[in-house]
Amino acid sequence: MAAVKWLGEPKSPKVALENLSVSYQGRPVLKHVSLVIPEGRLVAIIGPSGSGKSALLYALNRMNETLPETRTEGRVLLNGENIYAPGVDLQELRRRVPIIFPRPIVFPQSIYDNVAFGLRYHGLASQGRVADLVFESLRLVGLWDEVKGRLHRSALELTAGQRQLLCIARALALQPEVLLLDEPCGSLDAISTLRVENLIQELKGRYTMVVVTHNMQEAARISDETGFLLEGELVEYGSTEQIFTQPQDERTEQYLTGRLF
Amino acid sequence: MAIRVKMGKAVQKVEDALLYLLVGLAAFILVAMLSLVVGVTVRGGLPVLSWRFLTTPPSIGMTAGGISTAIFGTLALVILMTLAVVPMGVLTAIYLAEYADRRSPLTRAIREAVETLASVPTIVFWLFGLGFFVQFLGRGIDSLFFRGELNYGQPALIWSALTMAFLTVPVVIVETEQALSFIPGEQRLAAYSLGVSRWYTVSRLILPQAFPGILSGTILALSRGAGEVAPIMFTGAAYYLPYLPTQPNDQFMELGYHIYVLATQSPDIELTKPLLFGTALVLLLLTFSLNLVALLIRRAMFQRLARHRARQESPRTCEDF
Ligand SMILES: Nc1ncnc2c1ncn2[C@@H]1O[C@H](COP(=O)(O)OP(=O)(O)OP(=O)(O)O)[C@@H](O)[C@H]1O
Ligand SMILES: [Mg+2]
Repeated sequence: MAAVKWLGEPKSPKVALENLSVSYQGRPVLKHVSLVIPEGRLVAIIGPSGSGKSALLYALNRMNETLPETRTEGRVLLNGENIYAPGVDLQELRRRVPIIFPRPIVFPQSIYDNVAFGLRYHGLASQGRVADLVFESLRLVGLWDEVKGRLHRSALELTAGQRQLLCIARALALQPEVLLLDEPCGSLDAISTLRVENLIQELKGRYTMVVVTHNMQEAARISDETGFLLEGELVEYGSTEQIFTQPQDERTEQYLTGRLF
Repeated sequence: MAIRVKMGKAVQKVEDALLYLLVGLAAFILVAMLSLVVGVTVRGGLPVLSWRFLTTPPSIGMTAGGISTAIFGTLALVILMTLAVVPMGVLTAIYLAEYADRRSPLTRAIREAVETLASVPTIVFWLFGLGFFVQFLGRGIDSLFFRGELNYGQPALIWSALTMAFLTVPVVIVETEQALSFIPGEQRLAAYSLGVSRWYTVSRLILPQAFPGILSGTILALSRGAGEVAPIMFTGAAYYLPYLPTQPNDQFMELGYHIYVLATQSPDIELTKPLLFGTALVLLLLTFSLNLVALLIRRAMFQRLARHRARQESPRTCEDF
């Protein structure tokens, strides 16, 4: 197991993975991963395809349990509480830790209904306040001016970039604590990518965020900390600056310089 | 070697031609038979088809008058059947498509049961209807609520409708399940990632999208039900009734059964023949139009789904809309 070092004193840890191992259908995809994510920080997870980046995100809100035959060992602490402990409210967990997928999966409903979808279920607002929260989320992601005139038109009329922003608004409406973003710009063009990246920058500090990305520049640009995954193993984890300028592990350096895969 | 290859090709050509011929012949026979059936029905039925025919009850020992009571009975039967078959079929399909673990023995047993039900000869259904609904349930209700006085322990509209519901439920299940399975799984994933329950996802996100499929399944079930005679004989259909059924335990007249009666029990076959064809034509028009509507709904739904998928996969990338 690689030495996982945390450089610099963590603030209160928001999320902590303790010796987390995940296997899909008997095949290990995450091996004894430990890391601490301080409150309000933005962590980038990088690594080659199939290295378990998505699996790591899925383990943080137990989305892995929607896949067949998954096993999870170890602990994931959210505010110090193990989310894998018996009796944990899965729905409340996912409200607090929603995930954004690579492809913007909007529902074939109106723009308004998309954002209100989870809100209505979780009863976070009285009937009149739902609209306020929907508008607020749309403003927060910067979609408001574009969609305010057509809130009740289908969300399928939106462009890919707008859709991804809508997906983020849908999650933010739930007043989450941790935002998981799995390659949020993975299917977007350059302009949309910039927009989503800017939004992530803006949200920094308000939410603790974990962003999976294939884009090294993106990771270097937006994140506070970076973790490098390789074949299910967390090879290195530390401040982004340090990882990108003086990686401790040879494999990290090889990956960053394009000599690995 | 070259010669053998050539010969092989020649043989294949002959085989191909033969196959085309057979397929063409089969198709021709099919179309010819259909045209014959439709043609004979239309030719015999068209002359008697009139507003009067549709709106007056049979008279003079069913050798004159119209078929209003049979039309009313058919509608009543089909409506009651729908009330039973839709919840039963849709809930089963939701369970199979959204909840069940595909490999569990229970799921497989349900699937087997549905398939078997779909292949049971219709005549078996009247036995089942008579035995289970009329004799067992009906008598049970009578002895429980009516002190044994005969109310429900006899052939009745409600028992025919329920028997018919069992006959047609596989159609609703299969169509609904298909409609559900056409909705991309990622939508469910996106919903779960927002921490909503499965039932919320199904009822607010999945079912509305599957609605056209459920509707067309229901219509297909209706048309199947409207055309069946076997399950309602002896479970509720009457040879002749001077009044319209008003209670669930009344008997009723029905188009298909009326045809059967006119064809086999007529006192004067020459007098009833036009009526017979007229009734057949009405039934034919009814089932044809139901099927057509189902077909149109289904096509519209698939087109919409395909469009939706295309838009999901290649949304417009230009930011300014
Ligand atoms: N549904 C699944 N069932 C079985 N194995 C899976 C499933 N999804 C992913 N895997 C496997 O788990 C391992 C980790 O996958 P994961 O999706 O976490 O990789 P990733 O780092 O996110 O890759 P990518 O960059 O391509 O998204 C891979 O070897 C993959 O083949
Ligand atoms: Mg991935």
